[in-house]
Amino acid sequence: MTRIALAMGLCVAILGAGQTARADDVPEAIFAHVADGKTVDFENPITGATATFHLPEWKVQVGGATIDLSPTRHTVYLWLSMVIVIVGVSLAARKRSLVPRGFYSVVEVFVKFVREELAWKNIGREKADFYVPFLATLFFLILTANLLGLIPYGVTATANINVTVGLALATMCVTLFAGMKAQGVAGFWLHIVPTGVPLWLYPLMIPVELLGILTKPFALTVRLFANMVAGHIVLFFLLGLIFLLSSVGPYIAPVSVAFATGIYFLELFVALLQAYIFVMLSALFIGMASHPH
Amino acid sequence: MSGFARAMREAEPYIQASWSLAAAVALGVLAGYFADKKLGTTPWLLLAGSVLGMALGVYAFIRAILMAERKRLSR
Repeated sequence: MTRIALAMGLCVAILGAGQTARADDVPEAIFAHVADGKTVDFENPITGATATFHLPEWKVQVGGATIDLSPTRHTVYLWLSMVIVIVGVSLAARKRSLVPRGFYSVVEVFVKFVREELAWKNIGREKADFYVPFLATLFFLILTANLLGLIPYGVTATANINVTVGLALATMCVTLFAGMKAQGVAGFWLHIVPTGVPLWLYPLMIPVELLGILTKPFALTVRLFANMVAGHIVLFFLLGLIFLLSSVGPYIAPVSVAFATGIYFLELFVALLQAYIFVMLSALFIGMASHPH
Repeated sequence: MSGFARAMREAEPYIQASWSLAAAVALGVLAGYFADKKLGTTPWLLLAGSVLGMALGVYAFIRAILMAERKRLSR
């Protein structure tokens, strides 16, 4: 039932957009939709009326340099997902009872999954519970930010590489912390090169090992960022096909709406899967750092 | 889902090896590019950075694969 409603909603949106869109501005429209910006826009799909909110400019003087701390569209939606996570999870956790019900049971399922399937199995049961709050927070934040991009007017904050770099750097810091906690600060940095390597190889091994520390957050960053951007671009290009192929005839529209609906449900799955993979790999890195060989 | 988690855990060293190759090249090229822009020595630092990044990346890749294989076979 919801699928039919959604497909109808998409049709209405396309008909509304069709009054203004032309074939040659399809790529611009799509990349403008994915890109970051200084405004938050709302458009009525039926009448075409728009409401645009301009975000404030915050410039901070530090020493001689001016640092631009102005919020952008993605920042606003990242804050929104943060507020949703904090308020939603704390409200759900207030109503806890022995028999979980309502939204609390959903939160409990996810937390239990993160704790038992991801943290315990990757980090080991005796050390895992210390890192579960971090992992669960990461999971809920990424999941909410991914899903916010799939509701009407929503913007995907995780489709901005700066956001994913920030999340991956948080993971890197926790990984380094786990390594230093397991081996001691000096022991961790002195054992960065594995034992048994001849001394003349050290100038080569130290950059390689430092590179190994940097590639883990790099992989996390690009994986989440690319998945979110690519999904949205595919979704919009399938809808843009209607305008690109408008010379062929009107038969394109139902096909492309059907495909876009399919990709939309795939995107719902990808939103969950990417949050899961990010948290799983974070747990794996923490586990590898806290169990040195 | 736990079967998938186990598969990810097994495959992770190999995925990481391929990422380290890509990251080394990307980091070398970017570092060279921005150093060139800063110092005005276009294009020499870019070339040096990309060659260094490629060499380091291939070395890190081969080493990560060998270590992962050794770990897999010793289990």
